[in-house]
Amino acid sequence: MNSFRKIMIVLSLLIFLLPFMACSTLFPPPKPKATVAVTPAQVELAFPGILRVPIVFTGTGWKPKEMVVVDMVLPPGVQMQGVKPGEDVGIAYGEADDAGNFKGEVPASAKLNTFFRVGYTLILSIDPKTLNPIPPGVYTIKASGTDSGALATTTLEFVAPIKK
Amino acid sequence: MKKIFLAIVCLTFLFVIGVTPGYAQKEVAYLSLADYTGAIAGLNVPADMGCEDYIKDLNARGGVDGVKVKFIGVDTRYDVARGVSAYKRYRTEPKLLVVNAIGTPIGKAVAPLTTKDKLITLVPGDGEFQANLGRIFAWGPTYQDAFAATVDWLLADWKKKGKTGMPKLGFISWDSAYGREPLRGGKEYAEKMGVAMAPPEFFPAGSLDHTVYLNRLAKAEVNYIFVGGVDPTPTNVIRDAHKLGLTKTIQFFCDYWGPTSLGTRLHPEALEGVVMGSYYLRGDDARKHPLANLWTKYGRGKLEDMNEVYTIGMSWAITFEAALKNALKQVGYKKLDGEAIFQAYQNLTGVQRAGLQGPCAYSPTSRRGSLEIKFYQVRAGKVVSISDWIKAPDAVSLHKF
Repeated sequence: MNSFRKIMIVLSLLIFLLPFMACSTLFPPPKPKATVAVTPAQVELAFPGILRVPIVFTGTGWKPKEMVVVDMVLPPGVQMQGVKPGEDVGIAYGEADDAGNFKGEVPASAKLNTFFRVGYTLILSIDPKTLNPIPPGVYTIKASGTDSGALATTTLEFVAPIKK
Repeated sequence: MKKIFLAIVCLTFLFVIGVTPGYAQKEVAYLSLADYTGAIAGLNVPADMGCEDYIKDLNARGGVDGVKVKFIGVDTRYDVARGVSAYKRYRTEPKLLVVNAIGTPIGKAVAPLTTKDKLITLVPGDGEFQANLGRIFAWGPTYQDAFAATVDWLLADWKKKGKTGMPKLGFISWDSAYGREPLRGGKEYAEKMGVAMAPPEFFPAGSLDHTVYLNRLAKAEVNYIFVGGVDPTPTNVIRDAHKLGLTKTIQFFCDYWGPTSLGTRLHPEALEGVVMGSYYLRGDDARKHPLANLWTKYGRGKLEDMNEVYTIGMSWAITFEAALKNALKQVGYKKLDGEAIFQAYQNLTGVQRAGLQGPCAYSPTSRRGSLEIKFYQVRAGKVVSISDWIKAPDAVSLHKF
């Protein structure tokens, strides 16, 4: 009777654990150690000067040929058209090369839509009256690999326009 | 002991059915990487309203063989970085089958990802995706095919007017991949037909004034000018041409995104006589279509205020409905995935979409949503049909991609 009890307990535990063991996503393969950096690390929120400043993300350790998406984390209270509360906002992307290095530049559209939160006129040009720069501060940047799922973070600091 | 064993078995059973989609409501997802507040929101908002309303109606009728469709619209503001990020966010959505990219640049950027994920992408009209067959499908005839059909139209017009010799054609559009696309094969078609082209003019989207570009075309002594850009850009270009007095002597054309009926109300005099090639119904053709009643049914406002691009959205949804039906028939709900929908889209040849556009032309060798375009003309502030559906020539094959 005692041994029957033991068998039943082991069997029960096995039945309970089976779905977890079958679900491989619970035990994903190790991810490569990925990095991301941004140049420059500090950007002046000056318009239209910002359009002339290349903001470039680079990284290493990504899966070769995977696309790396760069998102900016919006602090609580910072609202943005097209972005739901709690969502991050995409600001750049790039494809990793054969060695796992990637490079992605923030396009002008992201500078306008995201850093300056612009509106548009009826003739599709940006409406200068709607320029609404994000609050200066240090923002968290998340880079993620679309194949590997690898994640790396850095920061990007925005400073108020310097009065000249 | 038996009770403990039974309890564990029951708990395990409940856990398993909880994570098995087969026991949940049958649903598939359609993702729109849209622009609701950015540069082309004026056209995208009504188009996605049409898509969403048709899907609402479809779901209210029970879905496709009991499978409901979840419409996910994301506002990318016509921003490629946001488009790629949004796709990354939603790519794991259960049973996501189709991604509609509102703009050429977004479509091109997400295409490698959707292809890896074995989904399909819908894009406006790039001939590149017809030249290099993959999982990317155009909404209608490609931009270059429509341009070629316009060349045919102007040649017939030239002849009808009793003119001798050959006409000269000007081209003006946005300085972008979209702006240049009609000429990738279209230029070759014009040459083939003996129509000389002036050097094309490209300007940045959002330009306030187009007179410099128009003056150069006038100096080149063109007889016809093809105007690209998403409305209101074409309206503004032709408004500038009208101010210069060019509309008296030069016939103006627009592509799919030319002035809508709402735009023509603002500048009726300047736009008078403009001809537009369209793969979808425009003007009263669109408003009198029986499906236009969804506009009022879902509280979008008065029918006379319906932007006709609303019908494009319905056409996307009807195409998806037909593909879903086909895929469910082939593999059933459980095995339904991106690969099944890819195969299904290639089997839609000849499918009718209630006459909203020409018959579906998707096949294993075609990524064109349809082959026909219809010509419309602005007359007394209204967009009026001036032709039947006309098969557009194949201009893609004339270009080396």
